[in-house]
Amino acid sequence: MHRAALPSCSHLPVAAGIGLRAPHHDQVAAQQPAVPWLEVHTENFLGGGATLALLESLRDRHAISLHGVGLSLGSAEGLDEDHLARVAALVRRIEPAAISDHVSWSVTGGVYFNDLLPLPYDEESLAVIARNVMRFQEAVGRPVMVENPSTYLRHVQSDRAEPQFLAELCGRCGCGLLLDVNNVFVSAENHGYDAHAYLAAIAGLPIGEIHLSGHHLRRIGDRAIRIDDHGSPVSDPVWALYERTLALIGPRPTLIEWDSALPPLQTLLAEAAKARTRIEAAARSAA
Amino acid sequence: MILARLQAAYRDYLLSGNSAAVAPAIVADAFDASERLGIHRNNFLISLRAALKANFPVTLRLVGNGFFEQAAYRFALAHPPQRPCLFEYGAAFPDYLQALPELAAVPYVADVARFEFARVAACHAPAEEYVSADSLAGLEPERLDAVPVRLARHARVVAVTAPVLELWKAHRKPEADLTAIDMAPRSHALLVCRPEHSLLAREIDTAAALFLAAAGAGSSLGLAAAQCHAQGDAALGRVIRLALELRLLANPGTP
Repeated sequence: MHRAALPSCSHLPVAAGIGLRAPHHDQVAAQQPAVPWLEVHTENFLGGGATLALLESLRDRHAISLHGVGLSLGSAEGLDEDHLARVAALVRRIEPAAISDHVSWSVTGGVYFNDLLPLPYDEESLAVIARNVMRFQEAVGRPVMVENPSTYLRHVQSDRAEPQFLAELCGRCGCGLLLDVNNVFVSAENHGYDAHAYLAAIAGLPIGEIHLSGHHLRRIGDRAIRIDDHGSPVSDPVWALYERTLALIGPRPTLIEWDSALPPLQTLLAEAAKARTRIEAAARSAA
Repeated sequence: MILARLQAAYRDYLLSGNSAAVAPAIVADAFDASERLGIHRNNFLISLRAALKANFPVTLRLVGNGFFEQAAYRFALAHPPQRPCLFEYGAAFPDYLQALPELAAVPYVADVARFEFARVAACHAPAEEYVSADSLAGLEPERLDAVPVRLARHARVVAVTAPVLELWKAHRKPEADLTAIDMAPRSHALLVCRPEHSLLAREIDTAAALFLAAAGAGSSLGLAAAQCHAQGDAALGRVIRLALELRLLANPGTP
């Protein structure tokens, strides 16, 4: 059993939070729901105006997690220093409880693809992403978390499994892992590996946050593949895997993430309440 | 394959749909490489289409969902974003729409799109140090040339020929009533700005447009003012008052 205290990459409350998206901005500001922490996509707050003012006002009542989707930590050409400077300026301004981005890439040759593209799991990718994570941490002045991706393909040149790649990355950089349990389920189903074995392999890493979200099954001909779309409630097998995760590593800050087909705020809060029940149960059994 | 070459092969595939270079790097099993890669190309194009819909909501209503989606898809391939902040994406979309033969009969669409992009840019512009009335108090007219100015980032001047403000206002309602709008082309300038938290949009006269264009080109207050003089003696005072009230001028020395 791994029941370490929250690692230094995360100062989030060990409670359930929700992802805050633009259609809910006004409602959250006006109604002040009793949710201990909120996560936003960093890139949506790199301008100014009412959007930034809103985030600044929310930080008085909620811990904030800045979750990036655009740093492209896996880019062989390195990070966009201008973009990184904007992220670092937002971090100084908001003083978030956690900072994260993904184990993936989205920028090459001057194009931003707005998708979390997969990396081969080999030594060169590890060296590239480790260098970029170190630069990220240097710019924001603290340890960050990296999120395991949903994957739909594997590269011929990969020579190690994802848990090993993540462990080596955390070990080299001193960064934490943002464990997306839905992504573990989606990738395990898509590639036919055992999600429980995956969890056992990463349970000892510094996991500072968990993500939960929905996915859908896409049919291609007579076959099907699971697509992570953050567009539906957390599925039953993912709840079960989440309970398994908490039993292995102890309670962790957990986010309900919803992006497409965004439901009313109440639906997000109800999903967060389900996560909270499980966090509290895990805390009781850990005591 | 080394990572830089692999990522360049992905790039070629995502922009062209031709997977020949990248497919050999992908494990083929129950799905072949192009089926698996297609999921990522789909994500890329659908997400950018959604970003353009968010930035151009009235343009979307004017051309209809089906046409907008096709145009956005082609635009995303021809002009993919260069940076990850998608509220900045689509600066070239109005010109792209204007060049589409299918829209030749509805030239107002591109003007509305120009206005919408200016709104998004104004909404998200960072705060900066503005030229204030106090800083100009007591300044001799002959010293105006020594005061450098630039247009504030929250301010945009959009040159249009269509009745954009009327069209935009009409489309804020669920059922747009266009019958009372005079669609005759008329060249005019719109000022879009966000001096504090609220966005403003209004038509401005030639003197103000010339003054703000000079400021936008990174001019001095004197040179910008000279643009106004040709429009009559009363123009300059009126334009400077507008610029100070709406914080349209920033100090070029500030980031």
